Amino acid sequence: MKRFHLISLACAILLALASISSARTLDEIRQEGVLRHLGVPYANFVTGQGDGLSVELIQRFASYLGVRYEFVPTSWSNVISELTGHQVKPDGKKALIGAEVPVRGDLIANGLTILPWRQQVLDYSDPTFPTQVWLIAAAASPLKPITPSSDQTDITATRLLLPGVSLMGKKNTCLDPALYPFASDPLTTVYFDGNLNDLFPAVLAGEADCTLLDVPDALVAISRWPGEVKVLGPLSEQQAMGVGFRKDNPDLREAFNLFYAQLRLSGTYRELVKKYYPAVFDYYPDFF
Amino acid sequence: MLVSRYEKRIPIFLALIVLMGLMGTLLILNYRAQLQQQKRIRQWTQTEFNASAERLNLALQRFMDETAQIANSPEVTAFFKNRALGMSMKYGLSTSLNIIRNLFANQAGEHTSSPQRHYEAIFLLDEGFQPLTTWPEQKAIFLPQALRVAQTKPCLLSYEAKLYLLSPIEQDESAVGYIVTIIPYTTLHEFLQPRGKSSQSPYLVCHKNTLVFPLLAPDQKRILCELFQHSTSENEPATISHPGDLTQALQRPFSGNVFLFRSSIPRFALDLYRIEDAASLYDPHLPLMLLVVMLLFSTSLILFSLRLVRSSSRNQGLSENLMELKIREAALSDKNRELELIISGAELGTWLWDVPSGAITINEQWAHMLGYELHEINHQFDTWIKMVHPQDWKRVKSRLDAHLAGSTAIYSADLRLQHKLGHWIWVRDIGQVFSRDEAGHPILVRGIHIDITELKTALNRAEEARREADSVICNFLDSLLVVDRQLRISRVNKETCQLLDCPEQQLIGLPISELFVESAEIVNSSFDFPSRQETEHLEELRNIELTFKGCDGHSVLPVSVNLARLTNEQGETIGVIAGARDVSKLNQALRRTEEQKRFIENILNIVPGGLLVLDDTFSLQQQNHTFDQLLENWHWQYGFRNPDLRQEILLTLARSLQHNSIGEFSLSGESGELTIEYYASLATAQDERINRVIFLHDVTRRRQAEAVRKLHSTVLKQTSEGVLITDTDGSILFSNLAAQKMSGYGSEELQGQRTSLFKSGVQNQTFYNNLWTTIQAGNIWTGSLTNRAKDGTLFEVETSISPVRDDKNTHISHYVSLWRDVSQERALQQQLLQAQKLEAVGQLAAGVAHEINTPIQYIQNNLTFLQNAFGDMDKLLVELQRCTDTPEVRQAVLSCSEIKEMMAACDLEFLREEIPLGIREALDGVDHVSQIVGAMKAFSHPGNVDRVDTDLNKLIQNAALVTRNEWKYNAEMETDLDPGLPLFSCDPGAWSQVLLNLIVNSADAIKEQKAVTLGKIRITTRSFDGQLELSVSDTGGGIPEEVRSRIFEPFFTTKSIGKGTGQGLAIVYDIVVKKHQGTIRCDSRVGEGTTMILRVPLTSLSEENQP
Repeated sequence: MKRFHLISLACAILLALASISSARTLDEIRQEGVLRHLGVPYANFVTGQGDGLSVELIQRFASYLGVRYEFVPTSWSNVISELTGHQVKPDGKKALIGAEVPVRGDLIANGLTILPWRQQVLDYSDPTFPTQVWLIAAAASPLKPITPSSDQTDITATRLLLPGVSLMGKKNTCLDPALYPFASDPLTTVYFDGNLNDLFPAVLAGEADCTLLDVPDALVAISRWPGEVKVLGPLSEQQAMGVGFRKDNPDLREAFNLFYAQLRLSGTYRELVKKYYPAVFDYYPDFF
Repeated sequence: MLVSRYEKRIPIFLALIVLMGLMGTLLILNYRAQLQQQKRIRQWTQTEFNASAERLNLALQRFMDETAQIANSPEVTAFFKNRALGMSMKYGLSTSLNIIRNLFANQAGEHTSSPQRHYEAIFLLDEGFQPLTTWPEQKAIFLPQALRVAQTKPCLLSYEAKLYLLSPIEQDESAVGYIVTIIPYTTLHEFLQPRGKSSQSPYLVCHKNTLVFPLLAPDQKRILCELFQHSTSENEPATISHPGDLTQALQRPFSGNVFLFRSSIPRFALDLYRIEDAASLYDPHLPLMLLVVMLLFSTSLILFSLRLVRSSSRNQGLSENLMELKIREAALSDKNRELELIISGAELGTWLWDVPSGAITINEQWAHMLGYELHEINHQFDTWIKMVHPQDWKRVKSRLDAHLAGSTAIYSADLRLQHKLGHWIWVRDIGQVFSRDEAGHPILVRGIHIDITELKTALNRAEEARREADSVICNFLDSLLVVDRQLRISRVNKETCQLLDCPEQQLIGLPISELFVESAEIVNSSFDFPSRQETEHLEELRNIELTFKGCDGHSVLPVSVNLARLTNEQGETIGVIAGARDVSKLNQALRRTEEQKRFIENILNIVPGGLLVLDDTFSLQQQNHTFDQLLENWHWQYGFRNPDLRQEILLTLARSLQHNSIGEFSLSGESGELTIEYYASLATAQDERINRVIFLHDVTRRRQAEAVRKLHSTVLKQTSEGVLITDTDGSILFSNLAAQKMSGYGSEELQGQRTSLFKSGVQNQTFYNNLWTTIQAGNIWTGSLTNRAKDGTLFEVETSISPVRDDKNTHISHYVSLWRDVSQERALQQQLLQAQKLEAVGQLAAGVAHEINTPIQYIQNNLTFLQNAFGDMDKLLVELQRCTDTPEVRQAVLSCSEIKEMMAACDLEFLREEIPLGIREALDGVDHVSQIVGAMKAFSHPGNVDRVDTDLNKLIQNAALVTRNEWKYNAEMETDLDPGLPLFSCDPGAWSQVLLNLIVNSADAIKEQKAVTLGKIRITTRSFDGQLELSVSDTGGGIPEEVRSRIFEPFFTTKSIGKGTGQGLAIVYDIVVKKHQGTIRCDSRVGEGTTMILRVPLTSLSEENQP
């Protein structure tokens, strides 16, 4: 039986290469005159109100290419599939490729953390935003924030808070506890089915003791629920986010990197970040 | 006269007096109004200052409120809450400070486009007055010592020309921090400015009786405070007549009076002062100066008006007389000039004859007319008489005498006078007696001479010409007629009389229409052409074909008539002159020539191609009508842009004729290429205009057809699909390379063979009969055929056999068979089908195990019951068996009463009733398990290529059973199976796969809806019109329109990750459509559900095996 599963999977991967016909190259994007931005409403990257750091970034990129901008809303479970044209799901640090699905976009930009399993199926741009996974609880939680020290010591101190608590995460995102070493700690993992932006409200509603949030989302949460968010400490090393591209579309990635370098040099990118994440400069003063 | 002049001036004097009085009154009123205006300006300035103070009051209140709002804002309180929770600046707390910093920036207007910013700085201090964050960033913090005491409510303080506002931040009823905002007084100064304009006036502010703005030295402050004591009223400004102290204190010059305006804001203990130089408000001397200037101006205006009135009345009379005189002089002068112009323009000689003395007075023109100068003429009447021609004198004298006698009103005569050079000139002499004596004798006679020599010469010449014309007409060899305006004959010549055999007298006066056979209307319309509107501009009409009618009334003569207009000297039309020529013989010759020409042209025009005649320079001399038509057709058919296609053809033709007299050439247009074939005669030198005759015709379609035929032939030979062409008996006429390769036969081997050569035995005779029936009916047959190759191996081909009809499209003449080799494809599909089926079995295994588990449970329960029951009964049976043993043994047997007790204890009656029930239940369970196992076995059996007659309803029941665990938690299944459904020939394993895939898809679609209530899967079967229909519908989410066309593609799925491999419907399509020649229809509505309708031809195996 396992042999037949493998045959099916092998067939799917072989056909995958031939079925990218609906995916578009940089030249085809220019010919058709539209750049399709795949995005999941998340933090201040894609607000869902027609703006956001990633939305403005890709709008400027479309203008740089001389084409029309089109936003294609999607979900965390489908975002990579709808870029690559195949079902993709994580298996530890590996990615499993499944059946063919329609391609709906040319790139992903919504605060997509650079993770090893994603790098197997995507090419990332130069890092566009720094991040780190923090442990967050409601203000009323008895858990006490750590006292800051060195980065590694802080992670160790934060992990000491985990035994016995219920921790909420989300699959297929960088907030999946299974991606990190602390997954083996004696804690209860609760997977959240809703939108990533609703993770902390779920904790406020008592669905778990605490949750994981990456820095951009934590900054938004602190702004949105002043006095109700308790940051306990970090649970990961510093990470980075980037824009995701199909592996067979290196020209588009190169074009973006060139555009992104110019945007940083002109200071425009710093202004954009300041508009959506004014507090991030306090944490990562050197990144921008 | 004097009285009247004074009377005239009285109204003027009265008007002047009234005007002076009016102007004096207006001047006084204006002066008073100026003084009132100055007072109003002072009051208005005070009111405006009070309003400014009120604006400042409101602004200060707003700043106090804003400072308190910042202190109580959620952002600020959140920071202190987060700090109390233990959060560190490294992890989260600095975000709160950043938010507060943004709040400060927003409050200070940093993010707005407004240029007005009031706050100089905003501080967040902790409870020990240590700064936490500031706006602007990096702002150095200075707090007056007076503020550094614990505060429990908002307060304000003035220090160094700045206003400090402080508001405590409270948590749990104690101050945990403070918000301090700083506003410079220079900013507050803006609120004191009059609205909409900027004032240069100095403003001074006292807070709690201390001058806090502007910053001044103590001495200056003291001087100002003493001055402020003068100003106690907020309604009227204090006036400072000697502003020397003020100038010293404020280091600013003041001129004359100074006004000190005062206003106060008691709530904040603020007193406000505004110092205004009187000269900046208004000019105090302005009313008096204005009065004097206006008085002087009014006086000078009145005097000037008076002088103007007087002088204008005196000049009026003089100018009227002068004007009339000028008009008369001008009229006289005009008349004189007119007369001189007439005399000189008409070159008239004037004379005045004093009859009694005989003296004459003449002008220069009179003398010049006769070649003399004025002084050469003897001014006596006799001189004139001598000049008169002797032949004219008698006539002249009689007329002159008659006039002198008063018989005629005017004397007039044309006479000849001798020129100085000796020749005679004609003169028209006109005169009139101007005065007579009392006896009526003439005294003065005045007259003129007009030179009419040229006129007389012209008249003579005209007369000569007329006589000459008459001679020409009479003696002209062709017939000539002159017709007057009434269309009657006025003159005829001799030739006309001879042609008509009529004397001239009979013809003169005759209407012209009576000379011709044609109707009067036709004849008159020609001869009257100068009067008709359409021909009145013509001078002549030529070649009018008419027929003379002889005077005998029988003879006729065709003539060609030319008509010309006849005009008099004034250019007026007086008639028509007609020339007629006998054309009877010419007409006969022309008719014969015309008939021959038409005959030849008809022949050339019906030639089916272009016919050209070229001269020796290849210039086109003649072409037939067909060539013109061809040119026109070629233009639009091939899209030639060159308008002169004819010339392009001739040039190309000239080049081609250098090589061959027969050949073809091509020309490219926008819509295609034109190919022309030409046949040219050999060059001849007999006639320079006819060097070659060339025949052209369009062979484009023929050449295209040849190219297409060639392409078809190549394609047929080289295409990757096998092609066989047979006659109607199935004998092979043509086979291409692909067909030869698939079958292993060579071209010669196949030629003439029947198609039965490929029979493999896989298809039965019924199959072939159906095939032949289809194609003989003129329809296309498509399907899969397994053929036998030359080496005996089988190969499967997707075949399409099409009938080919003859040219008249009435009978089938050939069949074309197309083969596509699908042997490898079939093998792969078979493997894939089996793989997918086993994968599905694997996925179903857990559910099937669960289904088996339930009957196994109650089988186990019943067997346990039977085991226990048998234990009880076994004891009883042992005792009963002993009763039948030897007496020794029997002694040990229990008594009957004890056996009864034993029977009662094991409840024999109960066991007799329940044991059969238990056995039946266990057997039912075994049956159920057996059914499930059977269904699984039937389902997982490898695909059978051979078809068997199958009960589809049974397959559906099996599929529902093995998939039960897939749908029972989300849906309920409803079947509507036709009990009379006939068996149909199919591969049951493949159809089990079809049913499984459709049911699992429906179950997944319902499951993804995540509905609270159970969905529904409905399966129906029915048969009609030789077809079997299977319908599977669900109440799932439906298939989106954009992917509906792709659902049968291999490896395409819309299911979420891990749910589908994208092969299910592709396999269904392969089994139903390709293998069983069926159809699949997908009806789906997003949000409502999907129905898959499968139809296959209903043929049973028994039918197929019929001979």
